[in-house]
Amino acid sequence: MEILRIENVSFTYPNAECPALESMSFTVRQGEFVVLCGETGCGKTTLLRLIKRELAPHGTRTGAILFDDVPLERLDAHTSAGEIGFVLQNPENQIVTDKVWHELAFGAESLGLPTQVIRRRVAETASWLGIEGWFRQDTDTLSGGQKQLLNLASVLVMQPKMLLLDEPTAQLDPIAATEFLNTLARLNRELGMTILLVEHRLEEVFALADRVLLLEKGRLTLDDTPHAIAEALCKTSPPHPICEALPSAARIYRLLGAKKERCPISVREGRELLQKYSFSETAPVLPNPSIASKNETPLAELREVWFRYARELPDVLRGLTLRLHAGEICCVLGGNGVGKTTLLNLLAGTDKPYRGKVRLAKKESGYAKTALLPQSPLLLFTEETVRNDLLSLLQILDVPKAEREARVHAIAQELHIEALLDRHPFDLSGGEQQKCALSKVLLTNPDLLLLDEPTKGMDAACKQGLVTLLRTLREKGLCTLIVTHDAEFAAETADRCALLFDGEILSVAPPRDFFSENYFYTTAANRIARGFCEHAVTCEAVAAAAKPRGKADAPC
Amino acid sequence: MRAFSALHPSVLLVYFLSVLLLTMFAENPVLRVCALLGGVLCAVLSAPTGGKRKMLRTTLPFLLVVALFNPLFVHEGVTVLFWLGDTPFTLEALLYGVCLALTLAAVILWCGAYNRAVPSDKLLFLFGKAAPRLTMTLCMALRFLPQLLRQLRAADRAQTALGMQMPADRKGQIRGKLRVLSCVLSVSLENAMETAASMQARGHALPGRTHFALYRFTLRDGILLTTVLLLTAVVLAGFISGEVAYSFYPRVTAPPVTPAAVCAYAAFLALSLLPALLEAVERGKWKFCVSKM
Repeated sequence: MEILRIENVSFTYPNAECPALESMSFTVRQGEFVVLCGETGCGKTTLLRLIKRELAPHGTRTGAILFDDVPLERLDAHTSAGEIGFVLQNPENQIVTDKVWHELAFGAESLGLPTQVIRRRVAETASWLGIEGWFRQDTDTLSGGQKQLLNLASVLVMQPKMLLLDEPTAQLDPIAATEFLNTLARLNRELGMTILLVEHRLEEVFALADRVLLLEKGRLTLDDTPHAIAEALCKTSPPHPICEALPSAARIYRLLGAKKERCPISVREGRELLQKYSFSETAPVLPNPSIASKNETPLAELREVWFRYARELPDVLRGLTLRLHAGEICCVLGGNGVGKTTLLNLLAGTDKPYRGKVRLAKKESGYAKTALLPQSPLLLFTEETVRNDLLSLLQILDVPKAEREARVHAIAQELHIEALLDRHPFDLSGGEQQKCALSKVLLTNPDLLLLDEPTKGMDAACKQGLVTLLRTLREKGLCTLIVTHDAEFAAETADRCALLFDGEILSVAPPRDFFSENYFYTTAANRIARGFCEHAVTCEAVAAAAKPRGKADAPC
Repeated sequence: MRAFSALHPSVLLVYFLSVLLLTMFAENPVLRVCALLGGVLCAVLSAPTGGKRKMLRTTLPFLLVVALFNPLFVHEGVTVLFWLGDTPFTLEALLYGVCLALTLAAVILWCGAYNRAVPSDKLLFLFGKAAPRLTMTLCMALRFLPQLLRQLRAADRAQTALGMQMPADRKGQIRGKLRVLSCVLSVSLENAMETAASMQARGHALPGRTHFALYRFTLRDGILLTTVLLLTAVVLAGFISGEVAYSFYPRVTAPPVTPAAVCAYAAFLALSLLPALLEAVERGKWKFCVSKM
């Protein structure tokens, strides 16, 4: 039985030249897990919001949306609010009240349910999701993953028939994201909940979904099973831009150019595929720019650094030692709350260690300069347009007036943000905001660039752009320290990776060695290639090392 | 004070209101000492150790000043202790000052106890039934303010690290801080849009909103509420009949000890010791249970 039917829906925003959605038609059956994917700006969010009447954007819509065979406009207000659940992207902003239990009850209160009913629903939802442990806590004390789980729970208390989720894991770290997706899968499996999920991180959702819809420029171009979609995308040429976002197994499949086999979409299927190939002993060493030798004076150095936020609080960093050299990209990985951000603050000089030394190399004019890009780039914007914002920074930095325009122009060209210069920073997408904030940070001419979770909320294409940019900056001798959860990004970008755990840097090594020595904390490509080709940590490396069985065995 | 805080918010609110009001309006030193005793016991039983020491350090000098200022500026009373120049320093004024300081101390202690026992959500719950929407708004404000402060700190940090807060002069400094403020306010507004969406999505606009809370009014709450009201009535009766009336001026005298006055004293002592008594009973039970296990 179908629960949702979209019939020939088109939608145009006011004052827009072309429609955001064009003649879209599909149905969702009860109990289906459907993933909507596409590049940023393809209309995914618009479509999802149109289905939820309360959040429908302003504009003109044609065609019909039927929920349970009733047109959306004719749904009873209580049904529309209660039976169609909606979870948004930002975990923090969706929370309304100050207590977890009150947040859980919020939706049920709106529906006007009596206290006894709310009490029971809240109780059973909390215990099903395993959140009794923090039931009475303040919402502010929760981690990002817990917050997003709370947002889901407070929707579930209303007992919806269908869940709509708009990139719910974009702001979470990978472990919390996996946990969240597994909860969705459980909802779907155990309760038969219909789920319509918009995602740009496709690594895990492909294996969970029943069906994938691909949107391109407001049109529905593909609607099929995950396997079929992955296979179709892998065989198009030139490669479809969404290919970079596909699960690692599928990307390896594409790079191998396999034709006969079915396209794999999970680590397990990826390993099955690789059994059909033979590998040279070790992965060929990919061109890796020389890393400064140990005895060269480092650009920045943390030596035996101890830090805590207040006298009575526990230590965040305990004897951390790290050296950074000019012209390298160093990634620090680690879980939540291990002190990654603190490490950046120490280097930026906004926090001071109570023991140990933070040393910056001497330059012609004073010491090496650091610049920090915080996790939420919006905190850096102070003006109405990106251009004015950049100009005002130069004014504060006492750059002569004549030079300012030229410097802004130069940096905009380098980061490809010329088109964004006259827009309001808040109107940009997450990735674009990140880029503009980065250009602002780079205007201070730093020697050491500090990035805090730069890939958060970025889609695959944007991430690729960032990798390229960081490489060009490295060519210019800039040192970049990136704090991240994103193993794939680190494997691709870094010259060295380090693991921060329990206040210390545990291992520092080039990504090839770093990830191949890890068993859990590694890239999906490495997990697929384990046992076949130990040192390959990126899809490209795995594909480069593999040869089809038949050819490799034949004498040359 | 876990035993006491676990009572229904309405009992707590009535209790604290009556203790605080009675303390503030009682002139009689016996009542004031009772209030102080209760307040001190509450603090000893519940306040964190660090907090207690800090409170002592900050309030003691203040109380001393209050106690001494009264005789320095008020010259009523007939028992002159000594002359400061040509102004008299009277015993009555001194005792009045000491008594005032004790009252202030008691009020501070009771306010602290109130804060620990009745967090905002309990208070909001009490008004939730009458005005669910207003309560919701207050709830959001309670969450919004600390969030705003956190973001202000974060933005200040981020902009300082970028060199946007290193002005030479005062004007530049102020301008820098204003920049942080305007940035954080716009970010907050932007975030509020998403909060509004999440509220809309969960049917905030629907008519007939109910209010849910974790608290239930039990028989125990009923008994305690009655007790509190009865004790308050007894003390009030003493007030209204003038039996506990007392004045330091013109000459300091012993407080009244008529049967009615003694009743009022006993009632107020019982009232102010109520949290400590409940706590003692609870602890006793635990000790008893543990020794049995």
